[in-house]
Amino acid sequence: MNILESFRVAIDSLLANKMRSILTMLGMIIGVSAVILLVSIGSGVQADISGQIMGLGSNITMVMPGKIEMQPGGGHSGGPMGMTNKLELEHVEDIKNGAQHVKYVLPTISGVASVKYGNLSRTADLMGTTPEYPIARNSSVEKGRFFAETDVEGLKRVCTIGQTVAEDFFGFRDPIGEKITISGRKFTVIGVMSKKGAGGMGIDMDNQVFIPVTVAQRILGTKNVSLILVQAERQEDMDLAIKETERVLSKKLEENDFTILAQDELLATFQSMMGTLTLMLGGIAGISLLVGGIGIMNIMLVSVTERTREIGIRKAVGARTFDILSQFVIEAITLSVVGGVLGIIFGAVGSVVLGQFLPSSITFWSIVLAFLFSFAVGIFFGVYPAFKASKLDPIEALRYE
Amino acid sequence: MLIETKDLKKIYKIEDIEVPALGGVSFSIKSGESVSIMGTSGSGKSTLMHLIGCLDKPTSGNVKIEGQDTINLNENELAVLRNKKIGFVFQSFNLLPRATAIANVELPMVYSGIGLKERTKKAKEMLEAVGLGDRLYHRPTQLSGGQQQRVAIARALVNEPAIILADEPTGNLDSKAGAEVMAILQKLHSEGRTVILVTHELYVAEHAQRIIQILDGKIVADRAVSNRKKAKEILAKIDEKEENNEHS
Ligand SMILES: Nc1ncnc2c1ncn2[C@@H]1O[C@H](COP(=O)(O)OP(=O)(O)OP(=O)(O)O)[C@@H](O)[C@H]1O
Ligand SMILES: [Mg+2]
Repeated sequence: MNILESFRVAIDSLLANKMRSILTMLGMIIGVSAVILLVSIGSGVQADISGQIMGLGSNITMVMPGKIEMQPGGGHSGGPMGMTNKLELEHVEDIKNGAQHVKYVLPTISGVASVKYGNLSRTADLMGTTPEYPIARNSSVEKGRFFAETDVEGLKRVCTIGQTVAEDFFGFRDPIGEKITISGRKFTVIGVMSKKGAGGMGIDMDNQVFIPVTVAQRILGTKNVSLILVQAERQEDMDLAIKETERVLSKKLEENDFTILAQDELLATFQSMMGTLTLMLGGIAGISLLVGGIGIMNIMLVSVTERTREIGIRKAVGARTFDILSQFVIEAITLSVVGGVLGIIFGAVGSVVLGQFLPSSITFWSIVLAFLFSFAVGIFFGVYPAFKASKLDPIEALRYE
Repeated sequence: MLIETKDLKKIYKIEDIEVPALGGVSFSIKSGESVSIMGTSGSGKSTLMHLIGCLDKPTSGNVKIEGQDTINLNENELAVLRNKKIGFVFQSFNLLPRATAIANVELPMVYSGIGLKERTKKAKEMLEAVGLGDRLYHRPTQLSGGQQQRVAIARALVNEPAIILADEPTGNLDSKAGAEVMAILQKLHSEGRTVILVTHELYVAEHAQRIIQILDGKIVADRAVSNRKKAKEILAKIDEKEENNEHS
């Protein structure tokens, strides 16, 4: 009997027991669609955040307080928490003066603040920084202006607000010159930033309020900055810029007081971390594939027992061992592959639907893998029952009631 | 010789108890013969038939089919032999319950590698020959016992085997359906086929030319039938009687 015949026989007997076939396939359908869905979300989030990191610009690096161990590939990052922050504005000046290949140095203090206008109130991302920020970070001011050096030096209570804040508080009115309250202090709006659009993970990049870094320090009662962004002229200068920055900072700070984070390093660490996470999600979903496979084996074993007499009849009229074996293996493979293909369809549709709310991207490899895996599950869990069937003694099988 | 058995023994083992079913049976059957194997229940008829049909292996002794030893054949070689040389008809029909009549008849051809088109054509011809041309797509549950047995006969014939082995083919049928089945088997014999019939009834056994009688696993008689029954005549009588009953 050739393979085509085996297929015909297998499909006939699957159709003869439709409900059971469908229920058996359900295990595969759920398993495969779970794998595809979870991997899609995992890699979607990964691509999204990677995009954000890349969005920093390839010629930018960050100086962070404390010692942070970064092992690209290993993905471990750590360091004593609650360590005292020793980065100050003074160090920003040092880098500006001492590192030739550095173009911009931006101190930033970021936090979340409650912002009020009249009786309107909202929570926004507060960013204390210096006037170079828009140029360095590739953003622009749509209306009014960003604060100037004199505002920083003079500790002026002025702010430039993001689009979301502007629309929420002022609608179509001109916000320039209006007074808003940030963390309980009155500020004058001097400008509105251009729209940046939504970042990943539902973060609104326009829900921001920029104030002079000195004012932010005053409000928070600190003389530190939370992060220093260092930007080189060109990407090729990045390594030099990092070295110079390190040399300059080392004069006043201990080695453990700061970490210079190169972006590619950050990206690599993050990606390997996310990769592991995605793999883990896929693995968990893979377990349900395994369970689906066991379901198939279970049904095939029941089916072999139930059809003992049929096997006896087939053998009596000339079926060879391989004919019976292939019939049952193909039945199992058909169950698992049809289940797998349905699972791929459901998983893909689910990913697209979920993509409306979450970053998700269907990966080709997860589809191929899910298909191959369901095929393998069919063979693996189908062979044992089929082997049992093929080894039945014809006479005993015929006598079976 | 078409079939030669030599000192066939079969002992079943249930746990440690040995159940002797055949105790040394030797006989020969020529091509074209019509033979009944007759004996009481438990005498070993079915056991013997399974051995002749290569469905089972003897504990000792040998079966030769067309001069070929079967004792050394492996499972797959035996399957091919059954497929090509032997057609079985069982008391309990043994049709695939979910398959149509035509699909059941096609089954032996599936395993001998005949293409779908030819299979369908031949199966149809065979079913027409046993008078079931109008029941091709009925399932066994939609057929009477006699019709099911005729499907089974069509299946046994479809690969044109040298030997037809029928184990109590009329055992589950009433006298009319039984006579119909016997008529078909006699017709096959008259066309030159070797038909071996297993039965416990003398009346059925006398449809053959020769009776091998066994008792407790041994041959006790091997004789020619003098007044052979003719199923066609019996059938005509039954029909006549039915008509009379209807008229009165
Ligand atoms: N699978 C088996 N295991 C054990 N003993 C068996 C088996 N099959 C048959 N026997 C025994 O072998 C003997 C012969 O059985 P067999 O079925 O050949 O008889 P039979 O002549 O066909 O009887 P019947 O007319 O009732 O069908 C019986 O005593 C029976 O109990
Ligand atoms: Mg019997």
